[in-house]
Amino acid sequence: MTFNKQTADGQAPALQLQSLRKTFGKNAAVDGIDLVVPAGSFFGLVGPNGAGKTTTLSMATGLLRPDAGKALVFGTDIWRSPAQAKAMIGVLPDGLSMPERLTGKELLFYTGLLRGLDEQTVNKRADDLLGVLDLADTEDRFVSDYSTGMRKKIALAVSLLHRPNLLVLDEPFEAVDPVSASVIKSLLRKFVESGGSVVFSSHVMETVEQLCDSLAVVAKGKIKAAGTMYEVCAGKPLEERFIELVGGPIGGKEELTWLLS
Amino acid sequence: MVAVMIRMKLAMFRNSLQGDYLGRLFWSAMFGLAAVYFTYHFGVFGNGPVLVNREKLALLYGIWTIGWIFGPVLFSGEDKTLLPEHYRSVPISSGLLARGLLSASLFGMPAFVSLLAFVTLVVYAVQTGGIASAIVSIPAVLLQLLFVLAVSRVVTGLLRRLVRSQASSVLSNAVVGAIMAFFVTGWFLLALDFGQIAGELSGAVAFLLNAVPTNWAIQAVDAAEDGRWAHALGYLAGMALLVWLLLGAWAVLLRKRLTSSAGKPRLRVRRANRGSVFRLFAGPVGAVVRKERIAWSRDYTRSGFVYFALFYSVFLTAYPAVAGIPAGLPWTAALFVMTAAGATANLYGADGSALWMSLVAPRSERADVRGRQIAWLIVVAPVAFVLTVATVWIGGQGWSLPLALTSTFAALGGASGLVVLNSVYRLQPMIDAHKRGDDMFDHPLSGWQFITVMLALAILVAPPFALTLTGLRLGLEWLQWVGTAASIGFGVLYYRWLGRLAIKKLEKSGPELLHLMLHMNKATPADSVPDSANSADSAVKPTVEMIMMRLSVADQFRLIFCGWIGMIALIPQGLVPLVIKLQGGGERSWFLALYMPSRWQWPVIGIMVCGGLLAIGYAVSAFLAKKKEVLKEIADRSAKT
Repeated sequence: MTFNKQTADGQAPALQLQSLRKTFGKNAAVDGIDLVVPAGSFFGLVGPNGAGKTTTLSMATGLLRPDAGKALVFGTDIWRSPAQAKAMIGVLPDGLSMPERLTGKELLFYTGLLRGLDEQTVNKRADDLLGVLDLADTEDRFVSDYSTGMRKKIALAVSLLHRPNLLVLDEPFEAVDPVSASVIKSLLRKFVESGGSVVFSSHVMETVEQLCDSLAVVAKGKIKAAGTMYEVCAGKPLEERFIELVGGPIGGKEELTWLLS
Repeated sequence: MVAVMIRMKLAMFRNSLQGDYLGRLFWSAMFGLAAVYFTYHFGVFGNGPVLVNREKLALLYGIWTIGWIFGPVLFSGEDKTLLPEHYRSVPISSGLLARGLLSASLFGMPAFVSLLAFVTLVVYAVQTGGIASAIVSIPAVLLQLLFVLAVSRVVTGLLRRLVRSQASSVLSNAVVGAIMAFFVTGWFLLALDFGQIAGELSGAVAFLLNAVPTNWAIQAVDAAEDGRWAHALGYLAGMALLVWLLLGAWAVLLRKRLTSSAGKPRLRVRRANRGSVFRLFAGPVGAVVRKERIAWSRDYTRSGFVYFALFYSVFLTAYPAVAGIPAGLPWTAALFVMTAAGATANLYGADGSALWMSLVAPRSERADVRGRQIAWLIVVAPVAFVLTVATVWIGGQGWSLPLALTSTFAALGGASGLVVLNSVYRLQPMIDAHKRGDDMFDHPLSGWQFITVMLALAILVAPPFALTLTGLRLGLEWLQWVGTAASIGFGVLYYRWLGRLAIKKLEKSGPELLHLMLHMNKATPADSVPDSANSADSAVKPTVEMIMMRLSVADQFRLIFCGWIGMIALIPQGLVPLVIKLQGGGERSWFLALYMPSRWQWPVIGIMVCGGLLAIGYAVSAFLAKKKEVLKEIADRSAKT
């Protein structure tokens, strides 16, 4: 892995992580991660459960202070100049609470105002986002009454509202229905085509294979492989390559004879 | 099935015999045993005639039942080890589930403690009669226990369904506020000509006490004693029938609880109401004000705290007023503001991990804190002013208006600063809003925070209050109004200064607060201190609770015991008699030194003061030593990473 501050075309990478480290008790959740996400890329972060994906993304977005290392957003250190860096990113965390007694529409409205947008713009954007994400019918329901998939979608809308340059999404497709997932995928593709960058974590190989141009495989807090899809897969299907990199038992049928006979 | 549930309960009980759970168990056992002691002391070992003991016993059983009914609401004490939700996917009827859960709850500390208390009935039976009543008393005790368990479950279940609307939140908090206030100033009512009232009512009261089911067990024993076997059996059968009916009612409640989706009985649909006057609040701060105001009006748990503060403070001053002592009335509003501040001082904790939304929005900390402060004032201030004027008027104490206004203004300003400051410096993580219900069961208050915030507020109110009071004492009306004006200045100062401290803290350690929120509300208290603090770099300091929980049970006991004994020795047994003696004597009350021969009085006071200081000193030094240890542990963990 190289750490050029500038990529080939001279633009700072959308996201650059340098020796990021985070330890909880005795367990190193993230153990010195180095990563470069070039601007304009659709980047996947894959790994088994507990690999450190959420911890990494939290440190990259200013939600969790690293024990060591840096996280640069378009060259700006998010822990040194948080306001500047945060203005450029949209974040979708996994499983966090929101102001639950607001309706979906209100959530977007007040978040937009908090971000300094004017009311007219917020209303327009909120309506557009609710429409595209198929939340228009339920915009008057409390966020606390949303299903898991709907919560994902409204949080995605929150992350898009201020028109960021980089989207950092933690498990954006989890629990989302196939129709909405397809809508989100095409939305994200268009976002990248129009010059935006996306980093998202997932443990569903098909999704990553389908969407990403580059990716990193994380396991036990370390990067096992990173680069373009072509480089990482080395001619094999991603799933096979993933299991190879992460390591793990295959099979197990024999033990469950009472179930499988 | 019932046996399996009991085994599950016992397994959980075994597993909980470690760490801080053991500590909590110890303290609840101590509390329970104290209650049992009082039951024996007043109920059966009192030195009145048997007939009086009988009435007292009836009253005590009534109190135990009320404790079982309101305990879960007051102390968040619903038995959480086995929840009906755990059995949602198991194919059993709700009736069987009710019987199973009730049987399982027999194997717990509260049931055991209550059983000990109800054994007073056996003692009573032996005291009053012979073998016959003693035999009847045994099934009567068991039925009494089953009765309180079942009635508690049914009432708790009903309240659970009730505390879900603004109106029912008002109602339940009125009840809770009235009860809590009664413990503080309710005894003023006893100063009424109680003997006369009791004389007039005694017939009716006695009848009522005899008629209510809490007393049927005693009736059964009495009947057996008199040889009225049919009556005795009738009472026992009546209790059994009642338990059976309560179980049926609980089964119905359980069925409703488990089939209404995840505790959300209805779809809540709201029209956006952005056309209100709150449109005046513009910009990022305005956005937070409007968002928060909505949260106050829709989150019944949050608004419930304010209702509680209102009713608590109103009852607190109303009880003495009814007894003919209206002196407290003008301070109702200030008490309301203080109680509301204490109860809502965990604003960020109540929002849970939603803090991430402020963290990802650049430069939003100021707007977030100021917006919350303004919204808090919008909720509390109008009520406080109405209360101030109304109570001064009702009490007919016009002279107290400047003083009352002074305390209200200063308290409002101070509270609007303290609620945000406390919630960022001493954050108590709570269950995320979408994972908890609307009721108080999932939302207990931290008593320590409550008390300290109220005390801090009292200190903040003191300077302008002293000014106005001086004006009042000297009879200078202009000085009183200067004091009132000064209280506005102080209030604004508190709002700005304390708010700024909170903003600074949020800017500096927002991520640590989020981390604390995410990882402290998981049930791993033993490991959580170094884990969360590790990342915090001393930005998040260990709270008093965290340090206490890391002490062994014996140390906890020693520390609290020494603290209490020290306080009692120092203040009521040392300093108070000292003052009384200096003033030339007076009421001896329970001051030990004043009962001594006069040459021993000074030495006893000296011993009390010195002993008290020693005991407090020991408690404080033990606490500080542990704190040092915890801090060192945190530093070590940080150094390792």
